[in-house]
Amino acid sequence: MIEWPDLTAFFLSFKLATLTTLILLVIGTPLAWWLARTNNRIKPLIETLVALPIVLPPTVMGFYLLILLGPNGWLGGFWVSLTGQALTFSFAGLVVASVVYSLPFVIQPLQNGFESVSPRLLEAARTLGAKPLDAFFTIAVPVAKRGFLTATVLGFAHTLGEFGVVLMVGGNIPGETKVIAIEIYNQVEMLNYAQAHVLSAMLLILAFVMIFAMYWINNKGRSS
Amino acid sequence: MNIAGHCHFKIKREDFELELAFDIPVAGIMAIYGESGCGKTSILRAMVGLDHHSGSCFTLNGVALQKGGVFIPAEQRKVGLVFQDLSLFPHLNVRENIQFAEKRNPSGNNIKRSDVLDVLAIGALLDRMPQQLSGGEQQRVAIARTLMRQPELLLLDEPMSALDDNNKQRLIPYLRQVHQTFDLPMMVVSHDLNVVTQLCDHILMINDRGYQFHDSIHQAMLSDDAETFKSQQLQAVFNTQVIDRDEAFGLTTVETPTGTTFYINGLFPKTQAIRLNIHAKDVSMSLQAPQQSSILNVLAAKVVEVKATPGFECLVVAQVGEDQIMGLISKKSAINLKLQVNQNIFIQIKTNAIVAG
Repeated sequence: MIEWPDLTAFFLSFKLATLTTLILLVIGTPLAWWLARTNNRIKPLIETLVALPIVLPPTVMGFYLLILLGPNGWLGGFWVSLTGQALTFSFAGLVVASVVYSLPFVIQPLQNGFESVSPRLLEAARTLGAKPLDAFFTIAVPVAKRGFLTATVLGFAHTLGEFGVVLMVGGNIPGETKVIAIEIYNQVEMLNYAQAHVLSAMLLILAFVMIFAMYWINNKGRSS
Repeated sequence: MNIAGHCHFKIKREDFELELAFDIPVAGIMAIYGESGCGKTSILRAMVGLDHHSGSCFTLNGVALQKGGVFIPAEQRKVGLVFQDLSLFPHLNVRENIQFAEKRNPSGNNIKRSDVLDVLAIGALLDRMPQQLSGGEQQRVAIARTLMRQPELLLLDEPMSALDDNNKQRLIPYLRQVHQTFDLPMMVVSHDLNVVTQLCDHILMINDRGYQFHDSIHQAMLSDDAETFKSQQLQAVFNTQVIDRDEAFGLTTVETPTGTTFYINGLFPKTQAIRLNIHAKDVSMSLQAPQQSSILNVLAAKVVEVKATPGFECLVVAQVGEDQIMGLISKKSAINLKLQVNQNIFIQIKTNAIVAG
């Protein structure tokens, strides 16, 4: 008989991934739009910075984030002066770290999506009387909808599976920073393989379903 | 010629500069004709307000859309442009594409949606997606969408370029009907002289000699500017009316405004205005009236001018009543016939060589 595990860590991960994805969509959309449209010389630099989290080990990112978010770091110090709380080893700190960690998984699909929107369509919209922002929301966003779907799913799934960075900046505080990947690690450490199995399977199935749905919907959109 | 607007553009791009000034006629369709890459599309983009070229000015119906520091952006100009690639919104069906323009231009009620759907015959396509339409249908939907912008001027960039010959012929009556029904100044950019001569009334030619405007395409063909055309392209252009139909033989008789009549193949409705294109290469000449000839259009004429072409041909301009028709004959024939100015001749045109529509 398998004992049903404590789901606090699971829900915390869910909350973290939702919040991170929303923030990334809000800040990532204008950035991705700019990257898709600009010929500015600093574009490759920005693209490189965005892509770094893909290749850097989580420990390296976590280390720098720890310094940045710590009470003596400029972001952490600012946060302390604002709220009186430290960013490190807090849920808020995890959100900031996750935004950085999952940045490329949201920006890149959005940028690809926007690059597939012909500039001619936006010009046509303007000649029909649509102001630039109107044309953006009524033409660019729906035409790039596959990019949005991919960005949302990848950003969410990637944050859900976060481990190393969390360990570096958030530690292991139940209900606050102990996300599902950490909980699985704990269970394995304690040789609770049954618990580890249940939690791992949940994460595996969830990731599979989300990514499968993404590919399925995107393929369906392409064939019609 | 009544004028709807005036343009003076100084177009500067990396690869070329083009400065030109022209008037936009109220009535008749104006062609901007020139080779690809001569800047035709740049002119349309400047007119519609997508590109800003400093030092240019553009006035339409008394309103300065660009002048000095004034530049009204595209979304605030009542100038409609049908793009060469049409740019139908791929995520919206035909109805939604049209509504996109309709919603953003509610005030003007001059151009009604029901009339637009009728004239362009797209009422049955409303629920289709753009990708499900044929090239000709897509073109008509794009025109309909642009008309719902309630434009005061309609611009079309290479409207026939994506269509095969059959569909080109089918689109021409639609474009004429749009011009007539909505009483809208129209300009068509094309590098295809057939499109220009069959559809348009006025022509702005852009070539290595600069640019030239002609009020009438027929006159342009007779002018010195016609030297930029190939001799095979030279033609007389007449707007005619049907005056008789011969049902038994499937022939229609049409008349130019100045009274010259021609037989054309096919039966056309009595009320219809018909554009005739008579290519110089299809016109032959003889000194006597041909006896027992198969050719139905035999017209007494007088030689106005004989021009040598760069090849082994002569272009003969002949006066037929009040009208002038060009014939392209070999130099050898011109010498054999001893053609001279004021000589009386007969010109012959096969009915099926006349392009009518």
